[in-house]
Amino acid sequence: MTRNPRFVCLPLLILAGFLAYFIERTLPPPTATNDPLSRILGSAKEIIGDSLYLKADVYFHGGAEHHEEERSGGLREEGFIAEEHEEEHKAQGGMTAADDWIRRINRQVHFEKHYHLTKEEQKEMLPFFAWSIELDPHNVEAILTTAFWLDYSFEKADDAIRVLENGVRDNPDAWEPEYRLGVLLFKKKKDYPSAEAHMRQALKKAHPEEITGDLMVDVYFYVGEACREQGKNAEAAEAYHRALSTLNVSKAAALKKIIEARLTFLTHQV
Amino acid sequence: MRVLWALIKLLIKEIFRKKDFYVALILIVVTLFYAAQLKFYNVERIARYLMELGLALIFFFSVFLTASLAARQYPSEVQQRTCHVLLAKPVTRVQFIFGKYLGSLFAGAACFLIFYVFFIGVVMTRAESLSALMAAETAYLFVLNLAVVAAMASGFSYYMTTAANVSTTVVVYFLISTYGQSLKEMSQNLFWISRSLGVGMYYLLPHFEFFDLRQNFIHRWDPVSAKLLAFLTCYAACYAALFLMIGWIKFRKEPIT
Repeated sequence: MTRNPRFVCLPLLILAGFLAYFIERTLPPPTATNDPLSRILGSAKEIIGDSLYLKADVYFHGGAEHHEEERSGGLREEGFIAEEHEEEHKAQGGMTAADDWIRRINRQVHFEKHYHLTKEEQKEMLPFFAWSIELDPHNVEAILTTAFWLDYSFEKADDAIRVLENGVRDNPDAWEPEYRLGVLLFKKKKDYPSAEAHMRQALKKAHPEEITGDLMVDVYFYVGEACREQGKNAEAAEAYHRALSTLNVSKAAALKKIIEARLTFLTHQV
Repeated sequence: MRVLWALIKLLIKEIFRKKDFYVALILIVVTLFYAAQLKFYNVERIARYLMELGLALIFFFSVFLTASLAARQYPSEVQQRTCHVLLAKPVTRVQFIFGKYLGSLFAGAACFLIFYVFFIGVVMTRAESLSALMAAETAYLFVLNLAVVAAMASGFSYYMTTAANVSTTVVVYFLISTYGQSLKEMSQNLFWISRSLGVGMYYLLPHFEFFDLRQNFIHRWDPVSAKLLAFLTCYAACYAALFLMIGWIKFRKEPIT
């Protein structure tokens, strides 16, 4: 029997097969990011993705890597600014007394013409947004920024919704993609049940200190609007009351009037 | 001049005979064609990412081809024992050094220009417009860049083996191109020996980033003035002469036996 190796190998092979089956049953299920790029690059994939997101910011500022931080919210809160900022332009072109000749030559060769991309040029950022969210699906800011630009600048609401849906799937603990998705579904698709569901999910996921002030007012206002559109008057009224209780009247008097009008309407309905 | 031109022609033929150039060309063609087919959210005519990728590839391969060509000239002549035959003919040592250097530079520049013309063709299919002046300036300054790289590799080839020379040249090139601007600042917080070394390198080594106009070209910044171009040409010429002089110091004492 031992002279023919088949009699030894075959039982061993069968045993290995059974062992593999039982081991696989005890292993955790495969993750969503099991693609070849993840396996090759590992965590470097995320670093590259984050770098590409920063590259998109550089592109927005016309290639200037050392522009002044003039805003707090990143690319999402930039407006469309077609003209150059003359003050920033001069500030970057100016030289200090401490500059040596090498630095002066560098500044002359790479005179960073800081401008913001015009509407026609903003498409140049898209490849970097696409790659950054593909390589680092956990970069919530990149996801939100991509969705913002797709909707606001390119009017591609469907693509923006898809980006946010993927963001919700890949970042189950993050509330911002849920909220933004809810707003988009409300405004662009008029899908009020889904919009309400996503915004309520956002409220559940967020820590109390994450949604405060004006943001809280916005969320509850949208929830109220979505409920009102569906005919859920009681829930709508509750949401409007929550919004009113948080509202800063000195800053948002117009919104207060709108909410009060809604509440009056709902009361009459009842 | 005839002797120099003969040496230059030999090197240009050499680079197009070897596989290196064709491998680089095929890699650039395949990469650019693939990148040009990519669509992002169905938005048409996005070009800057393609320019970024294309210029990075072209610059990298051109530097590598030029450095490796210049680095192997003298060692291969010595190894094949053709150096002494060459010098026994009416080719002076100065002509030998200059001829090898200029041949490497012309061959490297020829490769670069072929890559560049192909790149411009691909980008024109996507970009709405390209500045001809910026394209010309970018190409010109990069050729100056190659002049310094070729001189560095050529000068070092009289002291080092080919592999060590190519590694040193390419590493110095990429380090200075990437960190050259901030080398002095980065050295400020180091120990005094390292600080002196850092500051010394900052002032002594050639600043290759002067010749890199990629961001200017991609983002349509203003062209570089003629005065600055003239200064950069003199800067490149000085460093080329310096590196060739370093090689000459060693080579002039080499015995012909």
